[in-house]
Amino acid sequence: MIENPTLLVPVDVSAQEDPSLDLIEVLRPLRVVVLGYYPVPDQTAPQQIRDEYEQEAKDDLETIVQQFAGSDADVQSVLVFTRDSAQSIDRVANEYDCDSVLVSGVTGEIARVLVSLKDEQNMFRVLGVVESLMASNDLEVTLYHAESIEKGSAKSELYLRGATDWLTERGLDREAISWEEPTAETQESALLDLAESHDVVVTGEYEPDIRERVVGTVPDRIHDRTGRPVVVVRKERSV
Amino acid sequence: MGSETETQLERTLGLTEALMIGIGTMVGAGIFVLPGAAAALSGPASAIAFVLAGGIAMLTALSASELATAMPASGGPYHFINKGLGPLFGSIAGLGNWLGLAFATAFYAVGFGNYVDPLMASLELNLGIVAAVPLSGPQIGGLAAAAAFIVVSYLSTDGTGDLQNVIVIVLLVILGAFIVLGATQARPAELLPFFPQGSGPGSILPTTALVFVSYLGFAQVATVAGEIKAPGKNLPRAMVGGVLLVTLIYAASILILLGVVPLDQVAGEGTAIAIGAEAIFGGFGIGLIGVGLLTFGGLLATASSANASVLSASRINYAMGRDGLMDKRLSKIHDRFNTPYRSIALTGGLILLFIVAGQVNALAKAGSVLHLLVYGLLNVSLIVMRETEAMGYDPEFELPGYPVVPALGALLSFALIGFMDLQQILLAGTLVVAGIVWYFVYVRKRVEDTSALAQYRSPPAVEVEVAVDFDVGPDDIPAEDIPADDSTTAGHGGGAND
Repeated sequence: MIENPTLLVPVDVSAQEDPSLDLIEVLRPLRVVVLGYYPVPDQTAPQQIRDEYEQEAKDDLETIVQQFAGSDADVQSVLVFTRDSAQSIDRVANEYDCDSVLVSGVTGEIARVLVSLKDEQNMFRVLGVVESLMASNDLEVTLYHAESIEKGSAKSELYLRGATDWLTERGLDREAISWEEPTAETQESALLDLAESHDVVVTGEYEPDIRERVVGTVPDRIHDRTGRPVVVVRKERSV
Repeated sequence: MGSETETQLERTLGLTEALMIGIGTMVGAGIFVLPGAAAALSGPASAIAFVLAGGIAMLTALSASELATAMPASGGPYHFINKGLGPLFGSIAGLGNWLGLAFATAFYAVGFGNYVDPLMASLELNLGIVAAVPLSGPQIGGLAAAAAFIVVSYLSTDGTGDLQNVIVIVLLVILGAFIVLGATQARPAELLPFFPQGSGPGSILPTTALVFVSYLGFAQVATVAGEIKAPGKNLPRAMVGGVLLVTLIYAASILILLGVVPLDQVAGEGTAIAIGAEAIFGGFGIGLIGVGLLTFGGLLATASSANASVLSASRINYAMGRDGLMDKRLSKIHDRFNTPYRSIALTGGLILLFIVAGQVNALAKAGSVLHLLVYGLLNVSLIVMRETEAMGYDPEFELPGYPVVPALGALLSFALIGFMDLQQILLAGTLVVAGIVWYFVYVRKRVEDTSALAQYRSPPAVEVEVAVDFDVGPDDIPAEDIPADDSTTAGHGGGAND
């Protein structure tokens, strides 16, 4: 369970792709660290890019920070010049104790959230983030159990019922929570289809298996296929 | 929100990547271009020349490692000399380092052309170009190759860094096969007489001077010091390990080449190693494959050396612009490609000019003279840093054997210049004079000398702690890379002698 969840919001400051205002509005209950990264090509020294673009990038970043900050929210920001944005995102997430990372995407008004639960290890952390989001937004949540389990297995249903109870006990509206039970064959395409009909996806971070190392991880595929923003809740880091 | 945004530069290179940069720049010329010329001079004893040159490079690699961990800003050897000895020497070193790289690149590119030429001829791809322009086949191949690297650098093609790693690994595998298979066939008797009949052991030092160009790559690692993870550990390992590995490969390859093929068949040949491959792999009935592999390797190696040098040259331009020794407009970054396009275009233009002008072998030697001068000064700079206890000089890696190692590095680097041909020394000397003139005409009125040497000569009158600005900014190093026991303040001196 996470107290006061922190979200890392990576933004490519070399491109003009700020997170949408609707998304920012929904994410505001979380403590936010904005990571502005500026990709550096192999041909150029990072210091040289910094000399040229630091001020510009800082201004862009400040605009985004202002949007998150609103009144009194706690927003931190980091600017990184990097050849490897994935490495930078991971490192900054560790340094700033971020529990989750946003994979930015396009979305309009946000009303429906898809929550993909996989195994028990990470479940309370994912639910903790969902709780924070629901507590201060009017959201409908669909819970989804994303593990290969044969149809009719009680395990999925027990997971989903348990998760629903857990959220309701923390004062959330039972009516706003529904769940979907996939079968082993359809579970991934079902997840992608569901993602299309929701506005944001919350999922846990899992070790990619061999196939995923080739075709990309689930959050990446959701993002590539549907363009929806994905909040990836990271595993507990042993410090 | 008034929260201050922290700026960081991501360190993305591990030990392997750093090693690959060094090896990739070095392994090109020494093995694929020079064995023929070296063998013509010294015969089998040229292996000793390769080892000697590697030894001199090693001393400087140690010094460069220490300097680079103390001031990991872009610019490499030029930067260290400018900070240690001031803008006069900085001008000489910057110009020398830059043009030296351009010379070397022209040389690598024509070396590339040497390998392409027979391919083009055998495929009858001549197209009448050779008849139309007064250039040799290798020159045309070199021009095409150099132009390609320049365009790729200019446009910033994603993944060239990864490609470089793949190239180096493929190269090492090919050379490994050459050495291992060759070792089973080499006849020690072929290596006798070990020293050439005419000149005897006396030919070794001139040969050392000739082949020194094969080691120019190691300092390239220093130019990316700011991007290496855990530089205190990885930087010296990458530099020393790279020089060591490359020295072994060079010495072993030349011994095996001459142990298999009679000396007179390879002496003076531009593609000697491919001739050796034909004999070695031929012994296994796969001669053609061997030639193909080594030719392919030659292409890869010269290409990767040339490519790395184009990039390093632009970093020197940038660093000189940053320090005010050159017009900043030269290091402007392209709006779309984010590359230092003007600098790449200028360096590239010079390289193409040098290739067309011919005489790239002479240029390569002049480039070696310039680099030896720069390396000598680099060692001197390290001694100055330590002896003046320069403020803010606190290297994570301290070289062993101070002051013998840097003193020997400086002496041997300068001494090796004496074994170059007079013509090339004069050419390099002209460029040194040009650097001095440049200093008095352009640099002196613009730049204040804040080097360690200047601070030592006339310390600030008031006892204020003024740290020499070794770095470009205080936020150069992400917090995680500052060692936990780092209790140093700005006023802490060299701290190297304890």
